[in-house]
Amino acid sequence: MKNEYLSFKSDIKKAKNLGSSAHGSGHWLMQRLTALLIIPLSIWLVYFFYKTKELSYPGMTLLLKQPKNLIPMLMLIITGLYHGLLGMQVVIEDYISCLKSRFFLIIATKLFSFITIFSLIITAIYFLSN
Amino acid sequence: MKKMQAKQEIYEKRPTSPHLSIYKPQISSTLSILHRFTGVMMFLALSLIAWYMILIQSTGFCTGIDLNSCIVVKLAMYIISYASIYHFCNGIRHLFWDVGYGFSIKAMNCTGWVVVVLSIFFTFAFWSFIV
Repeated sequence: MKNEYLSFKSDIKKAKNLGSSAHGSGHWLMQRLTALLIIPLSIWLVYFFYKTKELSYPGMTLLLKQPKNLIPMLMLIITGLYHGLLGMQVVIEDYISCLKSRFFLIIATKLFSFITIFSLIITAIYFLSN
Repeated sequence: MKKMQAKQEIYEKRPTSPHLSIYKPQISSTLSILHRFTGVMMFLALSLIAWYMILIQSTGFCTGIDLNSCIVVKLAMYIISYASIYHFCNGIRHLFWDVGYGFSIKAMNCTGWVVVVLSIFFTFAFWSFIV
């Protein structure tokens, strides 16, 4: 990746508002890395469902308070939301052709996911301390 | 905003690819669009589940209600479970493409049908043995 800020020359493609933004490869890679992380976590989730199928709501909460269950559960939801956010961005970029609505939809999706992830972490702390 | 306007004008002059409805549905295109569709669905469902967890903890929101008895929730759970399992199977197929395997037309069609059969099988197995 070249350093954009150290260059004195501006590319003709940039002046004409064409070409890549040079952020795409990191986005692509993060989507794959989160996908790899989700594979074992979702197999764990199926195992967790199997283990807790006889339990009621209070029994389930008691089991979820153990770190060995809470950590993979939180990790799955947060990685899932992040992976979903990256995917939603691609879908919006592909199907929304009006650049203004595309821009605002992507910003709204990002803000919404970050608020969700943040609230979820705070809720987990509250859940553990009660 | 002005820059965006200029970009929009350039974009509109560019040729667009033929729209989806023109093509004959094929296994490759159908599975690809289904992958996106299930992905969007799961993002919305996961946000809903996360907010349900947050609200149930902070406000005691619908703690006394048995969601399993609600037919809409039950139907949504069936659909979401199929969507998750399909996205999981097809996602593994995508990861194999990313490292460079399975690009021949024969392999693509074959793995596509394997994904369809496996996802239906896993959904039935999930509801009959796991939950």
